[in-house]
Amino acid sequence: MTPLLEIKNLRKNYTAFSLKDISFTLERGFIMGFIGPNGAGKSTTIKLILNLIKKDGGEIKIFGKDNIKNEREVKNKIGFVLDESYYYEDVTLLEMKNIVAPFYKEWDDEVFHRHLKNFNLPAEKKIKELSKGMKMKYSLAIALSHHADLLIMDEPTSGLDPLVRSELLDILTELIQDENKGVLFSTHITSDLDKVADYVALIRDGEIVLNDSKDDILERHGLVKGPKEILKQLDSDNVIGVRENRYGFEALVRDKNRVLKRFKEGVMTEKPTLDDILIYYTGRNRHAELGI
Amino acid sequence: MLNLVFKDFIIQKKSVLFALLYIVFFMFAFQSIGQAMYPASVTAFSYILGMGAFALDDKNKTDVMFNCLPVKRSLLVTSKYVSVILFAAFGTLCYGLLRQILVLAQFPLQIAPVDGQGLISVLVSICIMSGISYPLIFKLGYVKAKVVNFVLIFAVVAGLPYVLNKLIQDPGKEGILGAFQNLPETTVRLLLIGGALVLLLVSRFVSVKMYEKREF
Repeated sequence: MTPLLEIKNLRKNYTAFSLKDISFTLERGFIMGFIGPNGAGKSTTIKLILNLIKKDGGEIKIFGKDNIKNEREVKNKIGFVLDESYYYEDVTLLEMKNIVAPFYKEWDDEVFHRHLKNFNLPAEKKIKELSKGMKMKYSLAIALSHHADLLIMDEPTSGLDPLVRSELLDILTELIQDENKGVLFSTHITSDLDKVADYVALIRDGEIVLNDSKDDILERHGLVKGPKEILKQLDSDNVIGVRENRYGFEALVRDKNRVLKRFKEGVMTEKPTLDDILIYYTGRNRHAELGI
Repeated sequence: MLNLVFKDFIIQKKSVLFALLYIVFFMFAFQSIGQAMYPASVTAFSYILGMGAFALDDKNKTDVMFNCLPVKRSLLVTSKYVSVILFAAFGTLCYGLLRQILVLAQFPLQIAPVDGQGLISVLVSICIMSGISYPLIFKLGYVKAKVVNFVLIFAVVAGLPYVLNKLIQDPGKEGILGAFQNLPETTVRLLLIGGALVLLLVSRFVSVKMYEKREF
């Protein structure tokens, strides 16, 4: 089966920032978390996928087709939820739906009204009268009402309260029960992905530095804690980042088994969270920056 | 296409009412302008609503949303040109109705009727104004293009009569204007409409090129 989304050597150059030949693939039936700090290139990548900006090189295939040559065809099967509401504020939810719906070949009014009901969204209210969480849910209702196969979400949870975030994650879990569909979920709030993501791509300074199944990433990596004397004995190519304190150190390592084999005693390893992965791969205590 | 055009009406419900009031104001305040009342008020009506639609797109950043939808950028551009013509048609209808009401109510006003010459003037004026303004808006966005457009429109509105007067007053000049004066009225009208429509088509072509290059 063709992947939902295939990105190869994608490049975009700005004066102060570049997306450097990034590649990743999203297969059907999965949720991919696209993580990275602010300014790492997440939104740029998503804008390139949606052809909001022009690429300088590389290839983007959606459902096996070039995203620009077959733009209308592929966009018919894409649902999108962006970081803010890009709808007219002074129209009602129903009026806005009437503006958007005719563009989609498979728009389903019944599904749309069901989502409005499930999300407790009042159809006759103006968009400006909605809270941020409600606006996000409205975007989601639109995105889910035309039988899209690929859902692209750019920081949909930023600024939302935990309850709304949790509701969103439940909806995504339900959506992915259909194995033909997939979700690309960009966020810097990694706890959102702990529950739902199958794959994780981590972007830093315009480069993909990690791209694997979430479980593999969390199983393979390890948070190593121990006294400072041991820190120097760790294989430098295995260390992603280190934090030191008065009593010892904490380091994220690529392969925790290598550490466990070498040090039978004196160190403790823990399973990292995605937050740990993001912080160590992108933070100031990165191994490369520390020069260990 | 049609939903994009109707969208420009729907998002401006209040502005449409305001623009209608503007036509009424025109009827009361500009009694001395005679036959120019209809084309002047309806051109202003159409231009206000045409620009209003751009302003709302800019304010709500809806270009981002529309460009995520399965729609060609060229269609988004074309719809704006169709909108302004439909605003003019709607304005003409409203002007005619308002005039009829005021005449029946025996208001002591001189209100010029909708006539062929007026219709041509409206069409030519909105083709010139939109033809000049729209490519810049599609390139830069409404806010950035606002100042440049104001200067351009002012230059055309203020400059065109000056240039025409100069040409008319110069007895030695036959040129294009002289040739126009010798043509039958219908031919002149057709040439005016044709020229305005060509300007609009060229403008639309340039706007599409600009908008296709734009990044959001």
